[in-house]
Amino acid sequence: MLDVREGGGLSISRAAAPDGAVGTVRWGIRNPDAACLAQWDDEGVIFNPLSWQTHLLNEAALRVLTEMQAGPRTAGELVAAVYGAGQDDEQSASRDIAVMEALLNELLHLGLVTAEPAR
Amino acid sequence: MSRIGELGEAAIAARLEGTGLPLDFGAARVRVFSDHLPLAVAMTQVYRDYPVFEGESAFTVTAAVRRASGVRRLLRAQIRFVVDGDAPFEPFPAETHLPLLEWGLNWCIANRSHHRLMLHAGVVARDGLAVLLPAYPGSGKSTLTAALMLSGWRLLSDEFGVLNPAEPAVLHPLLRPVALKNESIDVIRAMYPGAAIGPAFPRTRKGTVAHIAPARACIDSCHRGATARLVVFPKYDSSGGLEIEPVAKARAFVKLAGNAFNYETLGPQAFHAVRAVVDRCDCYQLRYRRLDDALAAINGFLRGIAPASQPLQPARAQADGDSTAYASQAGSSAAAPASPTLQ
Repeated sequence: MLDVREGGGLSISRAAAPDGAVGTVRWGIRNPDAACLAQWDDEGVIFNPLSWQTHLLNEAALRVLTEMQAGPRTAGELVAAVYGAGQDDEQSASRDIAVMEALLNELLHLGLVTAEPAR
Repeated sequence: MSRIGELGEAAIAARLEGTGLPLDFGAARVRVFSDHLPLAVAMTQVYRDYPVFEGESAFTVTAAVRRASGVRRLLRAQIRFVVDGDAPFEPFPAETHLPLLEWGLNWCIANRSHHRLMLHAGVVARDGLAVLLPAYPGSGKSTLTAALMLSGWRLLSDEFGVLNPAEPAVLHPLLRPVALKNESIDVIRAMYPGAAIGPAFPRTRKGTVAHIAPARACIDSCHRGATARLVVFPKYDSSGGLEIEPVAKARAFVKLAGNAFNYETLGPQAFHAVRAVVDRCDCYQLRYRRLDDALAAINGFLRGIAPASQPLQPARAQADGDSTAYASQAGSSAAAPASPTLQ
């Protein structure tokens, strides 16, 4: 049975960095050579070669995964890449990071990304 | 080359009881055996234009419809669908022979074609371009597919959108009789008096079922693919008018993949096959009440697609001539009846 779930909404509830993650975490696509990604307009689909599942992605998740195709990124780097330069104030920047981490945790839950402590 | 209808019921019955009756559907070949004479009569009607090919061949499925031999046959005559010596289904009433054969063959074909992606969809073509009509409950897919064939489109399949991962977006015919259910039988009969509709089988598990014989031109083209160009998700709605909405491609991908028989079996190959279809196709949802409105809309979709502005590679060298011999026979009534509840 195909499990097609919509992943990566920015409206999802906030979540902390993955368990055990202390400090900065670098996020990357799991098994990037085998993952299949397709995009049309502001939506896309990805096939996870490990779970054998296909997921519908919104624009935010697509942009994050596309950015990660070049290599692992921190949440801050992803915020900058996806939403442009940093926020004017610290509170906004912190909120953006939290929203990005929530998105990344959902992708982690789907088995699409990995989270490794930054070296 | 003789055709099944030319051989006649007695000869077909002898083949079914003897060496088997081979049938070439394009993407699958089957050989059928049976000791149940009424099946031979029905097959002679709905397979009338299929050629009887001779000689050796590899078959996707070798199956039989046999009279059941248990105690229950004393109470009510029953038949079994047997494949490779196994009877995967419970016995059916003997009078539902052709529906049992058709469902059994579809089941076997879907389970034995994992070298191809098998979408669950009706497929028709015109001018080498294919239209996919994915099947969802209540969609009226079979009725619409039948009406398109009877209006001159080339039918590739009523049930399977067959994709070879090595040939992106080329749909291959898997041409079987079209199964109509319940009120849709009378709808098609009224709209197309010339349609070759076989016997009706009441009280099956899906209600009354009847099968339309594919047009001879479709049968003779069953080894010629067509390039996917349009995906139409039909939805019969008895309370509304005609509504057409574009479907975002990613959503179309999900609907196509989620409705395939073996998407998960093929994994990445299936992903790329569906992607190639979605890349090349305009995708719409079509909500309709009147069948002729739906036909006009689909004809309009394809007219609106200018092949010259978006060049496509023809599926094969002979990409033209996707019209069937039914066009001249189909006497479309001036006041087509509204489609009944379908599926």
